[in-house]
Amino acid sequence: METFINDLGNLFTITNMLCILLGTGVGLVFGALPGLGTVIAVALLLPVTFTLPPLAGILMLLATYQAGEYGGSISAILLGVPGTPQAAATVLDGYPMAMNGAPGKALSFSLLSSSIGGIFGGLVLIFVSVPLAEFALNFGSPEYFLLGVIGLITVGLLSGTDKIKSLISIILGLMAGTVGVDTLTGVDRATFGQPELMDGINLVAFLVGMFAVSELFIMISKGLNTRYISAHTKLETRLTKEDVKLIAKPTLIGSLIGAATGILPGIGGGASCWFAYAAVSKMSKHPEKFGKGCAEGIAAPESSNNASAGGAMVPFLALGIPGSAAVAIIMGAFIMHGIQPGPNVFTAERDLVYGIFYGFMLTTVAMFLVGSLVTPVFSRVLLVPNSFLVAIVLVLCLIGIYASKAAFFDLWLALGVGVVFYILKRLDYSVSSVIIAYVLAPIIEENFRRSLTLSNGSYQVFISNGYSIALVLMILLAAAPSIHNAFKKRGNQSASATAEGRTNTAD
Amino acid sequence: MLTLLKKTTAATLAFASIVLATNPSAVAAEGYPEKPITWIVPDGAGGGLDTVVRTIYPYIAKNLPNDATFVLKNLPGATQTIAVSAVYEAEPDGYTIGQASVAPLTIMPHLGKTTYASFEDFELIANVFDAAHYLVVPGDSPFKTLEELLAFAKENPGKVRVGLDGVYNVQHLPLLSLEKTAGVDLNEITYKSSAETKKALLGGEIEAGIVPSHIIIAESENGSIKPIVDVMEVKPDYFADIPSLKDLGFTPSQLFVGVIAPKGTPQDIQDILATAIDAALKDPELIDALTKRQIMINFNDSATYKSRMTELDTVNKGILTDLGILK
Repeated sequence: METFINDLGNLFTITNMLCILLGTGVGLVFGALPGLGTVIAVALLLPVTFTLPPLAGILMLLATYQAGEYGGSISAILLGVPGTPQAAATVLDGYPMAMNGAPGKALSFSLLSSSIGGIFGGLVLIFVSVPLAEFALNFGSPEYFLLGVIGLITVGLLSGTDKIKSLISIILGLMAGTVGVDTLTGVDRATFGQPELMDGINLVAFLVGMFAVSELFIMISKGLNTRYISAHTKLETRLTKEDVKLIAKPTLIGSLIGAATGILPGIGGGASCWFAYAAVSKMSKHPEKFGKGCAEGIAAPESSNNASAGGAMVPFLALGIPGSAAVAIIMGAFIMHGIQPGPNVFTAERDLVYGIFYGFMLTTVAMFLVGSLVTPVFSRVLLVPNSFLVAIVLVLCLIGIYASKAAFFDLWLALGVGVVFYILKRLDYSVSSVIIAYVLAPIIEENFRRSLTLSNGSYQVFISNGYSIALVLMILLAAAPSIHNAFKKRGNQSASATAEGRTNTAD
Repeated sequence: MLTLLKKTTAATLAFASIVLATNPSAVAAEGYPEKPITWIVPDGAGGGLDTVVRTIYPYIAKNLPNDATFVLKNLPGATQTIAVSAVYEAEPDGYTIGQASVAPLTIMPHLGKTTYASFEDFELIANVFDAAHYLVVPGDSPFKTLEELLAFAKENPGKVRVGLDGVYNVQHLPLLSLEKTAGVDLNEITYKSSAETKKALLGGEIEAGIVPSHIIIAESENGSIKPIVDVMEVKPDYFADIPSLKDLGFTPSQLFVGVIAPKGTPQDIQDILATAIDAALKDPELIDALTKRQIMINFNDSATYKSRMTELDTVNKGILTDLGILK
């Protein structure tokens, strides 16, 4: 108890509080600006931390990370452009809800579920980080591959009724995901000699192109003088008790999935939000409401991306292996202060670690408070007429893409992707299928080939332990209904085909 | 007589051209720098190399004349070749310099993936620091030394799996060379980063791996990961008693990171920069900041930097030729 009070004493200093607030502010703004995102926000603040005490600096970065995860949903909801890759799934229901005249409420759903996700991630970090980190070690390349396949199947089931179109979307995404130097052989694939493509299609340019640029074309074609929301009364942000009840279950599922994917280094928040969205829409009693502006569709991805922040700290603090790109930069702050992350950090830097534990909770609280203050302001964005909005969004997007890698090539890429997706959207192809296939393609492909190299070519590696067998069973379970349906259909078709054949011969 | 005349003319012309070539640069160096110097960083903001440059550059600026300032430009990607190409294409006026590791200069050109032909297309100003990468095994591994690992691998071709963070890079080439010299066949497993290699080592997915020394300090203290041989030449203090490949009679590799400039940057500007880098790396404050981060400062003047680069280039070229992938 005494050490606990001592820990709190170390935590509640003016420096720490100011740092958390600063981090929260920067995170919110950078998260909300399409293209900039959490990683850039954390990287930008990293040099500031060198002059601060270690705890204050690290809490500032964590606050930035957390707030950025929520901030990404602001533009996802209001503009239909995810501010961060981790908010891509939030567009699906957040944007329609805002369009239907409830932008304030949509933001409140996002803020509440983000905060709960953040707290959940923090609790995981405090209570089970050591055992969970050891568990994550047992998750090897074969298990990563299987996990990726589960993601792909759930997406296949996720999107609309037209199976062929969603299959084409998935293949397009997988193809986009293979661009770049092949990690395992060093061979260039579909780079067309462009060095900018050697590391693959820039995710930020890809996302901005598919969501923002294509959306701009749609906005323009709809008429520029329309305004989404004209009455101020529709900006209500308050949630009722029923509202909160509605998102309780999806928030919990999202938090669980977010924390779990955060713990596994290399999966990334970009995939976790889709896992959460798919799981919640599958488990829902009314899956048909998803994609049309339902609260659960906001709560699931938003709780998952904040929970993944806490999750990503788990392998970092317990093993010195950062669970996400943002945490890898936070590791830089540790090293700059001469602290070696790794198994000894719990004993060698006890005060710091516990400060981070409790401080992580505070960053979530700060995010909630600051978020509540700015949400009403942000929701007014939709009062701006389209003619201004289009111009502003376009400028923000261009800055965001350029800032992410300082490459003009990426701007052209975003434009090209935007044109392609404008056409695809017009033809009712599933944008979400493309993006998740793109995110999962490297996870699936690299881990599949790595697994086979590890096993010298034996496929037994995919059922070699309890985890992989469980994952294979999950895949079969997820795929079973579709396969069943397909066979049923084919049965019917071949029956009718034979019937036709018979009539033909009769002729 | 005619020959003599010819020779004299040639000598005069040669001399004149040297004077002509150096003269404007003397003017260029006077008052240098008049404007901010762009420093191209081959790493994203917040990355490992980026933070090193950000730590160092204020100290170098302090040691340059005329209140010099730097503008850092991050151009990550494609094994640093995007940044190095940008240096290659920049004006050689002393207002663009770049940071580069050895892979974009001594490996990538041989793979035919660069606009420049070799490290000789650049002015090598000075080396700044070295890094050590170790072949490591998990704490419970039966191998205590490199000899034991190689002996087992000889009996069991393809059975020893070694994790790396990429192909045809500073980890892969020395391993291929070691396999060839020792006559063993190891199973190279490629990961995306050293953090992933470390995870695979701790999770028991691989029997060995090559990782940078600074990410396994804590693990080697508690015994969960054991370094068995230094793949590079320079050793950090904390692993001083672990042998290097060179100690064991194998060809070592090298990993050093320095400052480069476009070919044709005036010699006196190069000298001004090199002197400032040297002075900065002797500043106790900077030494303290870099030591804390386990960076092995190793200043080499232009000549030493160049001779190390030449030596490594020959070694890497040899390995790639043996593999039949030299382009």
